[in-house]
Amino acid sequence: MAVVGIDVGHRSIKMVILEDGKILSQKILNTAGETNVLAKQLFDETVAEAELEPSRVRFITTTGGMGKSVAFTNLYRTVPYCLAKGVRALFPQARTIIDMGGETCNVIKLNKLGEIEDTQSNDKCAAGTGIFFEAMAKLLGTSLDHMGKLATQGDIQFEISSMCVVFAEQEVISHCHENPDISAEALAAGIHLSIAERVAGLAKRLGITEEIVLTGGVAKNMGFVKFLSQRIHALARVPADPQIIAAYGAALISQERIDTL
Amino acid sequence: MVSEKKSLETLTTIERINQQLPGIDEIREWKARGGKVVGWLCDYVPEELIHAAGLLPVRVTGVPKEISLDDANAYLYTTTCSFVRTVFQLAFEKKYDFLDGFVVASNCDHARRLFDVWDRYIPTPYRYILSVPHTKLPQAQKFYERELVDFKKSLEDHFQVSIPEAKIAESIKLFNQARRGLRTLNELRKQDAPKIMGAEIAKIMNACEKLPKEQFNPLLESILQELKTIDRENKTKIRIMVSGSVLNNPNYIEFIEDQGCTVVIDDLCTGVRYWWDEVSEEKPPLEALSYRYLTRFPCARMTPGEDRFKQVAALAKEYRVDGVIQEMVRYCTPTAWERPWLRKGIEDEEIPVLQLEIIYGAAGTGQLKIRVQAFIEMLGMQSEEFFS
Amino acid sequence: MKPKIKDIEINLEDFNSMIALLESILAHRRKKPTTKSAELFYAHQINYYKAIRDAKKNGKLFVLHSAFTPVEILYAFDVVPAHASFLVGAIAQLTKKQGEYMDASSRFGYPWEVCQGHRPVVGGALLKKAPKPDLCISTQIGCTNAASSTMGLARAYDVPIHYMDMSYGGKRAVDFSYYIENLRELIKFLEEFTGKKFDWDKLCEVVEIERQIAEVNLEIMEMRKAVPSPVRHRGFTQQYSVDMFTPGIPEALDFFKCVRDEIKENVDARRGPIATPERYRVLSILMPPNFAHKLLDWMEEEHGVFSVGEPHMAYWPPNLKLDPNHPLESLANKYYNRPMLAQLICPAIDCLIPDTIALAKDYKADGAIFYANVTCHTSPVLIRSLKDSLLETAGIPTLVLDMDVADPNYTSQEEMQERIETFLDIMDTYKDKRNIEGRI
Repeated sequence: MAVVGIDVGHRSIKMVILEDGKILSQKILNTAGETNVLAKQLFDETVAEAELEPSRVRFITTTGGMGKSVAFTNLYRTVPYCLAKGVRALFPQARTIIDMGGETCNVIKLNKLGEIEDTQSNDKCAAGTGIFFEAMAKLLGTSLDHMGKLATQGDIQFEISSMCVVFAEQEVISHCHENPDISAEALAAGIHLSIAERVAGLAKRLGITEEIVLTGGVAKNMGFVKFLSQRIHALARVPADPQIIAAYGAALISQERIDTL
Repeated sequence: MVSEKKSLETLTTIERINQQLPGIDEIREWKARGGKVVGWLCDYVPEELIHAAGLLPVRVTGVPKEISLDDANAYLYTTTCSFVRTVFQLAFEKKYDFLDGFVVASNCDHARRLFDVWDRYIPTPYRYILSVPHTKLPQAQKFYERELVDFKKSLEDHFQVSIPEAKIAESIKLFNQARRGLRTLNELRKQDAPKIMGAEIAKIMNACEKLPKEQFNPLLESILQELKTIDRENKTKIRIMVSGSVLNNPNYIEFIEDQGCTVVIDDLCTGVRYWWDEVSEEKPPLEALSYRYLTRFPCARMTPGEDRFKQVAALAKEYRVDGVIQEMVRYCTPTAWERPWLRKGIEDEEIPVLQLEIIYGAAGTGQLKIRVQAFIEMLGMQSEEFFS
Repeated sequence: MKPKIKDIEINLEDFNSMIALLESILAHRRKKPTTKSAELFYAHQINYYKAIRDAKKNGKLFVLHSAFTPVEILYAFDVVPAHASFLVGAIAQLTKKQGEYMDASSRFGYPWEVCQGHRPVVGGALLKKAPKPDLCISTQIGCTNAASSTMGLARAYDVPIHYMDMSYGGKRAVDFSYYIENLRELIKFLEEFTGKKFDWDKLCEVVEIERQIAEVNLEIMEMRKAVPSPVRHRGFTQQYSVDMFTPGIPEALDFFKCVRDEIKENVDARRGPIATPERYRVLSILMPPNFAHKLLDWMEEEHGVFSVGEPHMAYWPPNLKLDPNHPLESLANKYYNRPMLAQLICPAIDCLIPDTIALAKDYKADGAIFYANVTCHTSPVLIRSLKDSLLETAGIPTLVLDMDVADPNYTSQEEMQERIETFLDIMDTYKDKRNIEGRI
């Protein structure tokens, strides 16, 4: 008996299959096209790769910004709800989740029982999200991973004051002009610190209680995690696969559903 | 340019005060002697009443640099005016813990709400908000006078002091002295090559608004004396007025002056509007205070705005200003609404205007430099010298 | 950007198309009726605008006023009143030309700080598309934007303007007496301006009808305590507008009686206003922008989330005392106690916070939703204070939806739905907590 959780974001679809409570398979697909079709495609592929009989999949829960457009789901739950489930399964003491996805950055506060007490997101600006980091990496002419590494090696020579991607890009460019010798490490460090400040500011609005867990694609950036931890004066924990946590949580919810039937 | 000038000896204390803001030595000493401090926000709070109660009135402002506003953004809102947010941030970080009281005038939306939030989250022992009318009409003056009576009583009740009229009259005299001293100082700026720069004036104002007047007045006198005799060159030709709301970061003014001009006068609540009008020493004290504080050089909140536009333009002409920098602190609503009309009023007097926006506390940036330089260049080309 | 005012003719095309549009909406409503009160609401709006359009024809002066100016006084002078931001805002919005009106304001030199709700007013005057009044009245109500937009229009159109002041504080005897002094000043000014004597009888009539309106609304307030909630959210925006723009007229009284009767039907039958059963009761803080109506509809229809209290809008405090024998005192009492003015003119600790907590308790709210307009500098700043107070005292959570009144795309519909759905879980969390800890 298997259950599935699918997190359908704007830029990628993540899927987790659980069998007997354990992760059988997980997969991420970057999207560029009709979501419902791609979700089905991902589903078929992942199930096939796991050598699973499709009929053995008893329940599918979807989540994510585009989750409602998936036709073949049994249940839709919100991203924060799924994240809470997924994070608490891995970190039973988690009280603050900072989810840094492709387009939004969300802070979720949990009570002692793991229930959601409050949320805060950056609706307008892209600072702290995947898009922002990608834009910066492009500007620096490096890969996302490498930029994170550079950041840990650089010293802080400047900070970005602008909250928005477009202006921030301009600021970085003007720093390069003013200081032609500035190293890639220092640039990366400045960028990462500024974003860490923004995200910390967002989290502060809810109050930060430990344990703090980072999820989402951006959490793979070790440089950022380091700066953020410094900024919030607490260690931010990162799961092994921070991108699939919402899908994992959705799968857990599917499991709960069939357990109660 | 300030950096090249000979420093004024008498400004040493002033410099030190500016470095220590907001908790300066003199305030610490005052408290060590058992004195109490009442912070105030907005020029519509009559300092004399606080002073007559034997308390030290201290203007609540930011520090001369831009600070991170994380907590302020959480407890207020990201589009609350940056001045109010800065003040709250400092209070939240306990930088204003030395206050025994905090008084706000109901000047604008942001100030009123600052009071609400401060009231709830910052445990200053005494917190009071003064209701200020928007007009200068007789019923407004009567109302404001009643407010002052209530305020006086409230101070007496909380601080367990009595504030007799005679004491208020004395305080009025003392504060008028400061105003007269500042007027004398500012008259010097009418000269062709003013010996004192706008940045230095900003520093002096910062000190004035924090020090006991008993200490400020002689200090100002010594500055005036030094200015009489000192030989200071000022090679800049362009004369600028800075108009706006709260702007008390001397580094910002210095940055503007470094581009090749002198700020010879201002229209700011931390500047000219603070001292411009004296309080009558003939009328009964509360009536005199009410009249002066309500009818003084108006800020953007007063109606009708036309009175203010005329007065600002007249001041610019009096100081033979080449151009006006109309500055707005983000996100000041009263300034925003008057902005195009004030500009029009000044331009109608044939004085060019440069409009700038600033996050409160910020210093100069690359962008600012370019814009101010371009403005000064344009003014230079328009001046007579170029054509003679 | 040099501020310049173009010398062009006034063009009432947009104004007239708006009236035509409203008439077609009304016709549509009549064909497919939702509620009688909705029909009355659209008829009310149309009459309001037509009176403005036909003022000159009917030999009446047209007076444009800022929010919460005492319209009752204007009625006693038999002039046609128009609420500045509502009128021009509606023209801009219903003709879908908001961008144009906002742009005109910006090009003239108004910076971003200016509240988006009020920005179109001056834009409309600069474009000469807003109807030109004979007189403007600007009332200081504790929101700089409200008073200033009318000032800007008066300057752009070069029409006379009278300033009316209100003191901050709100509930003290001195505030009421200052207000009455300002009312007398206004009356004196209008007598000079119109050349007419002030009609005290007419004022008393108007106050009497307003008194009845207040009575009906207190009944409505009482009935709204019912479980399930007997009214839809659209109702409260309409109620707010009708009383604010045309206080004390028979049409307004009829409208409120109709609303009351509709609610009474539901209360008697112990049912909600739509098929979806009630699952959550929320307070609505501040004012959801017009484009958010779809979102609120979705909340009701999809999830059974109903608004049971609106401290800034359809809130009639029980201490409202209107007495036609003391008209000026009545006006002072009304304008200092009625939302949204009361929440602006009064320190939060005296008004907004205790009123909201009382609403939460009396109306058994599960949560509160704060519709934060990002360009409003008066109310969103209280979000944290209100949130903390509601949690500490009433044990209910608050959801904040950041919106831009002028830009429906500021936050996507989908994101807001996600946030609301997450909030449902949060409300459940706190409901359990309250059941255990016994609050409310």
